[in-house]
Amino acid sequence: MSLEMRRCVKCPDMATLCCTDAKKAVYCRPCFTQMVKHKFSSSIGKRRLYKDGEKRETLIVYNGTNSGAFLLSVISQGLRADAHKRLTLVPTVMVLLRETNEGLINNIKNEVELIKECIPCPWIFVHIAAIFDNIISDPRASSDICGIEHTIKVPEWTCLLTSCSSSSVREELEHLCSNMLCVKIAQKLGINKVMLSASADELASKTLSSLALARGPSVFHAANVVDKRCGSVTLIRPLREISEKEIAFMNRFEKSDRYILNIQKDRVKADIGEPSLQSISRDFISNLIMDGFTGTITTILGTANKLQAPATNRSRCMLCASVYEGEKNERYCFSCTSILDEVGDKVLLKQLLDCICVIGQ
Amino acid sequence: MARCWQCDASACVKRSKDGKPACIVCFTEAFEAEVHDVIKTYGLFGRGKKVAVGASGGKDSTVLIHGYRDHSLKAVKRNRNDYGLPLVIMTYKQLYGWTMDEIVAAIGARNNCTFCGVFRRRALDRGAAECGADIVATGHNADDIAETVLLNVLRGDLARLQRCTDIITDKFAATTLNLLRGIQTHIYSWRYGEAFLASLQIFLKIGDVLGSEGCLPRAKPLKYIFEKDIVIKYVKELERLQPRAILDLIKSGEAICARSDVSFPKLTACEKCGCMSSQKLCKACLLLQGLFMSEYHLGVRKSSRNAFNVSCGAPFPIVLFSCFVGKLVEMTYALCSYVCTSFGSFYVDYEQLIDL
Repeated sequence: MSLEMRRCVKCPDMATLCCTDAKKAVYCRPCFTQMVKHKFSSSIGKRRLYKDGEKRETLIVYNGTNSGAFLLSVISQGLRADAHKRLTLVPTVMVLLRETNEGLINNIKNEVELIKECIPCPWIFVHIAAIFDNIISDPRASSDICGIEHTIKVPEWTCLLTSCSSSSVREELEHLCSNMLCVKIAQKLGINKVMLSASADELASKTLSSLALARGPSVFHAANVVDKRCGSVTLIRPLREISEKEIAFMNRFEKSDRYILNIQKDRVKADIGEPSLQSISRDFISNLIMDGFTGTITTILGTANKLQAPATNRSRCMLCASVYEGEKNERYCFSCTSILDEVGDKVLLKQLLDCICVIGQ
Repeated sequence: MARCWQCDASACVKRSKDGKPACIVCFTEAFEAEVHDVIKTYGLFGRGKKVAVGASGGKDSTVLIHGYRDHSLKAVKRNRNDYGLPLVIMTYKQLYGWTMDEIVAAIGARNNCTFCGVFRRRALDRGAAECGADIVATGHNADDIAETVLLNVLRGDLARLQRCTDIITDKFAATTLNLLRGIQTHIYSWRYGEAFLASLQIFLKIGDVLGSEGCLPRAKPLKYIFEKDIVIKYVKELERLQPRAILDLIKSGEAICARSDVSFPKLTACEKCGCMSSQKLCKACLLLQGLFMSEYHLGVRKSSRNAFNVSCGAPFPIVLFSCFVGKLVEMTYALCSYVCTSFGSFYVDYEQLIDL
């Protein structure tokens, strides 16, 4: 039936919008906006992250994507003095850069300068190559980009990515390093909460590719709102229940699509055109949804929500912070060992792993 | 032309597991060694155990193609002659009072795969009991298990997700083995200058399978099958990108369990037939009761017309036994049973009993 024949489930107006499934609840535009914002608020409030005397300092990781723009927008509105149910967090925005071309990096930095006023708080710039830095100076003390200005680490990062044997390994390594880098920066700043902008679509595809990489036991942590694997730092994914479709609508309605940056999809030349486990997982899920299986994402996330590793061995992997069964002399889980074996440049790899070990201490 | 990774002869296949080129001899030896390792690692076969292997004669079965079953049956008989194994044929009519055609006529084209799957599993169990077998071996391979893990994730079926990677399922009358669970049985052959996916049995001429005499079209009447096809395509893509992904998927499935706050149905015995069930009636009994539209009776006749041929022979040495079992389990869904001094097998089909 046509949407125009139905009424909003919240008010008597005509319905014009729906979520993933058109047969379920339909909304008018103001109620749709309210529903999506409520999903964001409840994902935080339900876990009582900022109550009972908890610290309120939060590092917000911004990467210029669709969901990153939405996260900036919803936090900006939540922090306003006149907002209903104000967000009570104290933000620091970390712009995470992955580009390897210096001109592109400067362009992105210039774009970010134009949108800094949306959240009045310290903004820092961190390049993913900062993972190689043993000693990081306080990012707030200067406007320089960590990993670029003081120590030139980008060529090492590029060299490491290029030596990966496939784009699957490259994407997985980049994901692991960016997570570890967020934890590293948060520890440096004395912040114990990191907010990531992963949406429901992204987490579902991440779950499927994790299964294909033998990471079954850790999908619960990787796909949940609260992730406490990294010791004192908690990773938060408040957009877990919100799909990319809803985020796109919200960005258009709230005019926050101006926060989307012109980031490059493929950062290493070898990437162009080559599919990866991660990309075919994304395509698989989107094809299922287009074929009419609208509950795919919620089912996958619901299943991941109920899984865990058996409570036997309690070693913790140095690279992905997951619990795994292994011998005493093994420092990485089976999946990370497989990934690391596929990286060709062993010198840079050892350097990277030595820097990461510092985080655990 | 690539050289064999083992003996430097010219290679004609590529192993799915690691992509290494291999000649036929080395490939066969490596494959059988893998199966043997699985048997030893999990302690699957003991001396004196009776083993039944379920044989369908081909990769797929569908009730909608009449001729398919006759071809399958012929292939199974040829396998029996080739391997010298006793063959027992059991029919749904014999076990349940209904043929699959009658079931389809009664319920229409919907859900008949449910009836077929539930009844076949029960039939394997009954067949094993009738042969006196201790173990039922099925031909599920690594791809099948990987697909099952993904399907259960996509359907949110947590109970099945927990146990679908088990190599041993011991809650049936006879222990069920998935001998090929960690082994991939399809290969790539260099033909027309590119890698070409081929069925292991067809290429190596091991055993006799339906595909070797031409392809029959697959019927896809059900949404479930549609889902399975999508998952199969996804699994093929994963493997093309990273051959290890299949085994990693299985490893993921093995290593997970449900969180402690998730509730599961309690397993009890079926009131009708005493089989494992989480309800008062097990699935097969429930389906049968619905079919008859009256109270169900366990009236399965133990007819003396059941054919069971036993071939006697000297005991095999252990090493020969292991190699032989390696070849044996390459038959997709082949069914046979083994005693210290004899072998037997049975085949489940929907036709009337055929005297052997």
